[in-house]
Amino acid sequence: MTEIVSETDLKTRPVRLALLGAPNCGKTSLFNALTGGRAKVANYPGVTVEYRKGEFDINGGMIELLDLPGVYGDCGHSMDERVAIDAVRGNLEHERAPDGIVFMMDASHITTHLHNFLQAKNYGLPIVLVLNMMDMAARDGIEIDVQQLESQLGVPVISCVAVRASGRAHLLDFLSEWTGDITHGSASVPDSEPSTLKDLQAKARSITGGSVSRIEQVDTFTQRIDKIVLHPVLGVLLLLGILFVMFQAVYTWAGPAMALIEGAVGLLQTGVNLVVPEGWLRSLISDGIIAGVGSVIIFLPQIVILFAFILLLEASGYMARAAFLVDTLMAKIGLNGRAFIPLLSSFACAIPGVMAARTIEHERDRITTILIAPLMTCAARWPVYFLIIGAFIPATKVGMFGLQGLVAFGLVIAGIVFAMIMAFIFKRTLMRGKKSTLLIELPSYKAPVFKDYLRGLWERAMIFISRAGRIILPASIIIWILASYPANAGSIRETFAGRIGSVLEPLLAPIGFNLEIAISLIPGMAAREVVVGALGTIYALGDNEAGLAATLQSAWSLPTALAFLAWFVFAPQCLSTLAIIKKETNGWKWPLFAFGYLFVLAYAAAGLTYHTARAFGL
Amino acid sequence: MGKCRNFSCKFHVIYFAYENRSQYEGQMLDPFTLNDLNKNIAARVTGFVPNNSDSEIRLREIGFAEGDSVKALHFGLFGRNPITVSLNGALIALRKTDARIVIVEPVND
Repeated sequence: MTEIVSETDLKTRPVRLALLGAPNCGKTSLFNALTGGRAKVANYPGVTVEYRKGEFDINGGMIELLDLPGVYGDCGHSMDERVAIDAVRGNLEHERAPDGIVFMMDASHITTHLHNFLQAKNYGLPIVLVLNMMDMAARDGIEIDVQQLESQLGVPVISCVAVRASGRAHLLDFLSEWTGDITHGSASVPDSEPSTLKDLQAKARSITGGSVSRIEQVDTFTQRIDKIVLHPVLGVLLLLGILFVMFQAVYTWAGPAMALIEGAVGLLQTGVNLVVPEGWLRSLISDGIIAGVGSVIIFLPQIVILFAFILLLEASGYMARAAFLVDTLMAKIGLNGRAFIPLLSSFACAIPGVMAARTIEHERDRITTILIAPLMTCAARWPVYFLIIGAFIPATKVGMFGLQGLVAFGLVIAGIVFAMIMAFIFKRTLMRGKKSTLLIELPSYKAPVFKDYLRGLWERAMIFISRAGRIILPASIIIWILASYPANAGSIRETFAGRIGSVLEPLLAPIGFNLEIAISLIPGMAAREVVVGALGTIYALGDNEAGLAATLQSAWSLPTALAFLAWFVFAPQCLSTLAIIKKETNGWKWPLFAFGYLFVLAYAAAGLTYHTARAFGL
Repeated sequence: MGKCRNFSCKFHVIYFAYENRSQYEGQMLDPFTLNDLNKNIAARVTGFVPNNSDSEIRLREIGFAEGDSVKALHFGLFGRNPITVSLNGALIALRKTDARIVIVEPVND
């Protein structure tokens, strides 16, 4: 899109710089540090799926920084890489081309990556090379002659330690001057470089040969850890162990905080009951809003703990290793280890997971990954699992493990197993095509930057809370209305909600679902955890003094509860997931297909569970 | 070595194949690749098997180039696949299908 700008606009509008570089070179750390977290996130934060934009000023000059997905070359093998390259070339809709490129590189890997920088010079924009993590390189005995590099490359080269203010000072000084030059049109455009990769590499190697003291080694610390982490047997056991501890922790550590929130919700309801006179308003606030929203907010501690683990694994450099470890398994189902990362993100929510599938190269692999992403146990399912498991599964110990944790782990595993089976089937039927492959750089281990880590965790928690506000609050109000009117309704069955639920009831009765479940599944379309809020509202209206879990214990049979859990392994009813699939696949075909196959599986699994449990006399 | 690295590398394979004749029959001229490299053996990249331009581009972009030092460090659980190699100090994980394209020669440390 072309923008029409006047002379004065040109002078006052910020200088736009694109932050380019290979994955894991520290772009996001630098971006966070420079913009102070005042970033506009185009989509989901955390993983750089699209691009983040942020503004900051140096000495009165405004700079707008684009944080782009990591790329090695300019070919754009995956969707993700194409976004980055299109952004630099100015081919993105509604975005003007950047005025300059800040090319970031991990100083310890300069020999391997310098040709990527030479290639970026060919974009024809003013460019600066920022060598990040110079402290680590120096520690490993790699000395880089920055001045010589500068003269050989013909562009400014800045050494930097992005995670420390002192390490960024030099870069800031430079940017202040450089952006001034760019505004005045006096920043020099680099000479062009060879066009073939082979020639680029030859030139890059001859440059580093002269200005880098020695060939880099894998740092010994990383090597030592990898002996265990990447070990074919120990590594896999460690991965399973990490996942298991993660799910156990989610249960055991969150208890006190959850009790606190539950107490607060109860207090709030009592408070409302004291202040607001008996009538529809009190019922709306207390039974509708507080019960509905409260029953979801209570899971915030568990969500935070879950993400504390996922973000730590991402930031420490473990995640790429996990991709390596599971690749053998992924190969068996026709995908590759790269699909592990979107699938793991889907444990938070299928939406970032579906978008993260953009890093997958082959279109058919990408679609397959998208189709199975909703089978990963997303955060929205946890409230449902927590509620039902808490109410129906005794908190006994099996050996050293809690039974509740084991059941939750089993449900997660069930999702993964079915995802693998479905991927296997899809890749051999609908998605036949080129064999997929894995080519991924394993970053050195590093301690996560505490501030970035907390920011990531905060963003995740805020997403959860804002969902509670944007989706669950209105949904709770709607349910309350539907379940409370017409006012003369004698039972839930005669209300509007009951009438809608009655239509679904015959369909769901064979799998053990009662009217209340049928009602709750409809608003559950908005988001899976709304089901919990809906049940909260529906049963609160039924004049129950006890908490929701206690109410369910008396209202549901154990086979029904188990069938409900089985249904939620597949849980096809999530509009946001279907919407993002439509967006990412450009049409209705795949979202409808995903809904169809998930519904069939959910129905079959719930039915099978229900009747098996009854046959065993549970 | 020096001028004709490819040749020396093929020689290496022919020599190797001579001792395992039955196993290598019909593929005498297959070059020695990253895929054939045992654990912790230092080697140097000498080229790429032709006619794999897609893979070659991806491998070059991530950093594989003539003259680079490589070493296979870790193997996956089944069929030694995928492989983690060190490449000029960076760690790269790749599958056998791609490793087969990178022609290498062992070097003496």
